Amino acid sequence: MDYKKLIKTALLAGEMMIISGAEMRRVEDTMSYILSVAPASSFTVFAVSTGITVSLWTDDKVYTLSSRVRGREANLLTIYLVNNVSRDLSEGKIDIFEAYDRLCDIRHKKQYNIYLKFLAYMGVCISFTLLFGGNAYDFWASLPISFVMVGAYFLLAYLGLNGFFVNMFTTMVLVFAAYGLKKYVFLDFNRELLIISSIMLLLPGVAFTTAVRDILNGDYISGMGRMLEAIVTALSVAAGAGVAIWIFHRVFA
Amino acid sequence: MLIKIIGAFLAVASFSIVLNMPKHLIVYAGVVGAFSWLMNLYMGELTDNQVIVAFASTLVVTVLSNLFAKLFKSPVTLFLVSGILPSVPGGAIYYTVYYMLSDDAVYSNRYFAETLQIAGAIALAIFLVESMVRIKRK
Repeated sequence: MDYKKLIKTALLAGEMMIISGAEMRRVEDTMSYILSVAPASSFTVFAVSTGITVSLWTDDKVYTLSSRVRGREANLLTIYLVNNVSRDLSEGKIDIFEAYDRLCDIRHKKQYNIYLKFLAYMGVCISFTLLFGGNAYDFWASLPISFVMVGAYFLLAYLGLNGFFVNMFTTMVLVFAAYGLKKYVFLDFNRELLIISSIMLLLPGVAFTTAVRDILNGDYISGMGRMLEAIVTALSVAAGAGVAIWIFHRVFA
Repeated sequence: MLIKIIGAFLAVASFSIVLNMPKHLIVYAGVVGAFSWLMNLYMGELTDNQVIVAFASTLVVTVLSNLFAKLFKSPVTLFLVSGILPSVPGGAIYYTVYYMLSDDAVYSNRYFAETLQIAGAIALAIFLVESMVRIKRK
């Protein structure tokens, strides 16, 4: 049994799960599934949202690896595929080397190209106007507004701005677009409904949900970290909306 | 009514693309969203209390997510994080800021409290269903 490879595989799987935004219980479970392949050994896995430590005892040796995990990008495909790899491995369908290779492949997997992503971002904003009971005017107005907003979001994210300011400036662009369109183009749409529909895209539903589940599982450190992330994200959207409304009232009205 | 449900389906389906959902599961994520909004509209008829409405629709999301996760052998997170989106209190957050800037503290505080209450209701609904699921497993 190649214990070094095994523990490296487990660590890699855990890192990928954390970065993709899985809850800590699942990260630790996945790593435990992988490590339990080793015969005659015991192990400990400790994962928090910023790092992992994993130890494996065999008859004559102890292996310990730790890893500092940075960066976060919600990616459900990665969670799904890593989960499948650990499941296949613990069921004995694949061996440890194949598992490691498959994990490395997952990292480079791109499912949707950037144009489709762009349309999906816009689709969220546009669909929400329908969901909140918007009429035909709201629907048509949401096309240009969501285009401008998502364009701003992609540009700011591409420039590598801090997440807080990406959210804040995107919300400002959105509010300016909605207020401006209403004031100067005279489209008969519901301005508040459009803004609310579009900020749904930026609000921290994912972080909040994961935070709640972490706390329920007893992973209080990670749960509080994620909860703070959710609060900060919500504040960034609120700050953006506030600043934009204030400027618009002072300067243009 | 039907347009709203279709809107919910499309919203959650496209949000799941944003989150890089596996292709074959996008439709089911949309179904979760559609049912949660159906519940939301139904409860909206019965009561004006947004907190109860959010609680009920999150219950639907969590139950369906756990069900689909079992059916398709995938983590619950996949369906849960995208399906929860329509229940997020976006309107309450916006109006908190909006009235704060209109110097209307009464409304601003009311919407701020509503934001926190809805967040709490969502958390409680997830807590409830997930702990039920765990009881059954033992």
